[in-house]
Amino acid sequence: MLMGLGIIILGLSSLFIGAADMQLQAILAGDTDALTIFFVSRVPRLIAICLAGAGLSVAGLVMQQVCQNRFASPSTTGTIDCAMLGYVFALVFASNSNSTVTMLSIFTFSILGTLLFVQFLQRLKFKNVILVPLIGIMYGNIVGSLTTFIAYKYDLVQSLSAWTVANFSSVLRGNFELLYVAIPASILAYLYASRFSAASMGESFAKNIGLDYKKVVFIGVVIVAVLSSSVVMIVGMIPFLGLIVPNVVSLFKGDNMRKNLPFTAYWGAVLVLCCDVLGRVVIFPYEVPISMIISIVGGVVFIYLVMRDKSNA
Amino acid sequence: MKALKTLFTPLALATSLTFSGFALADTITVQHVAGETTLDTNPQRVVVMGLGSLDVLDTLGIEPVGMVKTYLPSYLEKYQADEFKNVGSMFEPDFETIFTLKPDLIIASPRTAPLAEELSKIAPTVVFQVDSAGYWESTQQNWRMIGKIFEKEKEIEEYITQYQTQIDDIRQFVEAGEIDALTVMTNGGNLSAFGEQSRFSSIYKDFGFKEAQSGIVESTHGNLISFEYVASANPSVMFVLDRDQALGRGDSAGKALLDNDLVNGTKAAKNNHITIMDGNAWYLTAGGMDATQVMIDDIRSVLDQE
Amino acid sequence: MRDRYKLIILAVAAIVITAVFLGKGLNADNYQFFLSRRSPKVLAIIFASIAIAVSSLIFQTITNNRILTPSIMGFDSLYLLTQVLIVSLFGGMSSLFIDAKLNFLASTTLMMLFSTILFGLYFRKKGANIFSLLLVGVVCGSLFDSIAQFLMMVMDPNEFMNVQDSMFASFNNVNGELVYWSMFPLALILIYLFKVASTLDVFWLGKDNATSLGINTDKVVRKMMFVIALLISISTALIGPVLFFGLIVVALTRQLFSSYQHSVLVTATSLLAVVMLLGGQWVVENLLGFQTTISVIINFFGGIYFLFLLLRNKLN
Repeated sequence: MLMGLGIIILGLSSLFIGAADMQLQAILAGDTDALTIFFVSRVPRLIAICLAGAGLSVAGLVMQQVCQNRFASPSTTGTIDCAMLGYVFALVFASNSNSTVTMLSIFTFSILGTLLFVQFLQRLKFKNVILVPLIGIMYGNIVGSLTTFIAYKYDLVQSLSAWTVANFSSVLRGNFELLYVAIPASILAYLYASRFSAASMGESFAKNIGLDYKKVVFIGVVIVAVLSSSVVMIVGMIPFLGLIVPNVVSLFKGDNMRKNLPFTAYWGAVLVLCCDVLGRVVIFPYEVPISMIISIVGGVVFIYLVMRDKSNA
Repeated sequence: MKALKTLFTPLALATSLTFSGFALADTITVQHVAGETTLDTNPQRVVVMGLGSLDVLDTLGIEPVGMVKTYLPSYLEKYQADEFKNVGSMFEPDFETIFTLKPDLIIASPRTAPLAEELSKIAPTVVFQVDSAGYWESTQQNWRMIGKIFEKEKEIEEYITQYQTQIDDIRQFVEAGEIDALTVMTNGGNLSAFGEQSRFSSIYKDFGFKEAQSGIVESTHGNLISFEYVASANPSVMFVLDRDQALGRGDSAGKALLDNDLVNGTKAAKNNHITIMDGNAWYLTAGGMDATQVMIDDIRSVLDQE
Repeated sequence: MRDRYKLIILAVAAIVITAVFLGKGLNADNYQFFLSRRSPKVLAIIFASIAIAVSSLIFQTITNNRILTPSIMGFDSLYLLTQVLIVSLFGGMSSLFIDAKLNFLASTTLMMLFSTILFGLYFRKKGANIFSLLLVGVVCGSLFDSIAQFLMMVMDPNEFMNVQDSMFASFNNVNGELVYWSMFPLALILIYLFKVASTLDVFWLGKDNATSLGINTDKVVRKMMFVIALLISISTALIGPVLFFGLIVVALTRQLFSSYQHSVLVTATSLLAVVMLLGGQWVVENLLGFQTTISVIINFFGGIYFLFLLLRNKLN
């Protein structure tokens, strides 16, 4: 109840904060300019924020089950970096292609990159919780330096920074619809939740209860890749989101994935919404990209989570 | 770096000597942004560090021996040939190659102006800088400087008069109609706005447009804006620079990005007064003659002048 | 004994590669100008590589492990953040930012303050697990970067240009004045390190053993942190951040040299660093034609090497 109220208040504040001067009376009075701004810019932006925030957080939750690790997430397993590599690859080697080709390239790279990492993890069977995100971040760095290398070669370094920095300032009706993929992907994740939970107990456990372990992991990776790719393509790179939201939720709610998934999606949306509204007011009427705000918030929370982690004492 | 190979051979020296003996030279002193430089007129071996200055020399029929070759626009394509030496990038001049070319004159560019001092250790160096505070004014100064150095003052004055007339025409028309404009740059799917103090100041200062939404922070770099900003500024005219296109990513991503309800609701869009500016001219070769003509044409294309 | 030969070989290699760098294409006509351009650049690379290698080595000594290096723990990013902070607080035209010497003093002072806090945070927990330290360090690094970016975003764009130039120092536009100035602190630090080398050697036995041998470990660690902060300021000011370079160089030094004596290791790692960074820069200039910067290459291979180290550490 309270939660619903929270997002409504936030959502409203998001709808009424922006560069254009727009009053509630004007909308109620049916002023065409105000209505246009409302339905073309404000509403889509709100939807895009919620979808991206919820989607990435769900992706993090799924990744944590698949990798059997609390600190796994699209930004700590190389998924987002691989997606970015795919993006640059598409722009360089198929520069006049349409968005479908770009999307496919991003998706292919992120799914292959993530699968590679997951395979690698399974082979090594880490017991140390911290090692997975550490190796994942380094893996992401290596992929990132490949991306930079390509960008250098084709004089795209400055464009690259424009693509990576996430912001919702250019979200409008007609250019963000791809993000709706978060809804079916999240529902699928919800349906598979118990299977993911079983998989997170390890391969032998999953096999004992008659689960096709490899298939479940593969489906998990596909969900994560779809969610991350859509956000990377439309918005840009949002760091640490998929890591901190599921972890903070499980601090309060315990570890049941099926129960936590809706909460994770909700808080992910709320967090991104807060940060985005903040980004709109800091240097009004201009905007501060959301990725900067999220990475500061996310970095601090992540450090806190690592510090309080009991298994490393 | 192939360019680092020493070109110093007796033969090269001999050829350069025979050529430099032809033109009669006077010693002159010219003023520029970084102070004043004393040199002989009609330098034979010229190195240019900017595309704007290359454009000017090309128009005057003077061939430099070395230049910056990154982002050469199509009309300066001939300088890609190997007989012209690449002297590094706008950011990082290749000092050793420049030295090896034994230039009589170096024309530094805005990006490398702080390095003018370093360059003047090699040869007399002048700075060809487009001052964003007043494009046309500083461009005239630059041209007159070049004219003085190469003893082509008469030619230069003809060019200046020719452009001045065009600019005045536009200015009168714009000021009479009190037309307001918004200048934006698209870059990787993001929009930034540019105001009166930015690198596109000439739109406001030379061509007389008013700023559509005053108070765009004074900067040369532009600020991240949303489409709402465009909608609420509601400009009569919109100038768009597609940066990805300017850097040779030949697709019209910028155009597609701007095709949306918010932009289409502005006066500029309704009257079809949105123009995609020529990225080469505005962004790279600004200060050149061809470039200035393209700029004038870009501005004119938006106005209902027949 | 064999170490001594290796040292000689490394020293010769360092001299040869420096000579190649300085002497390429010189002739009677151009040598004055070429050398005046090349010397600061080569010196900057040499000083920076020594600073990076030595700071990494000392850092590993006082933390008693083989994977941590200051740059992985976010210290490079910290330096950049202090630069941005100086501009935010005092403006880009202030002498604190413009004047290389003043700026250096100010940033080093800030660095000292920060690194003490950071270091305290890292090592406050008794017996904290090395991997969580690393992870915190890595995240801290990216956090500092984000804060710096955020500050630059809300900063006046003209000021931003000033910062940008200082942040991405490249090998080709080296601040000549700074190079010659950084020689003094670097020389003093090296002399000091040779004086306390034997004390540092004891650290390999672990903190407890060092303490029982009558060494005031906390005091030594504090002094060394000061030295490390200085060295990082020097290297980042000269050539900008290179994330994995220290790690690679120190690890390779350990592979090559069996000695545990700091007097040997400091010399060896400095020489090796010079050979590698100058060599790498030569490859970038002559084989890749400036198509990429050396830091991209270092990050790529360094990252792979780092993973390898982590895994080997894990599997043993």
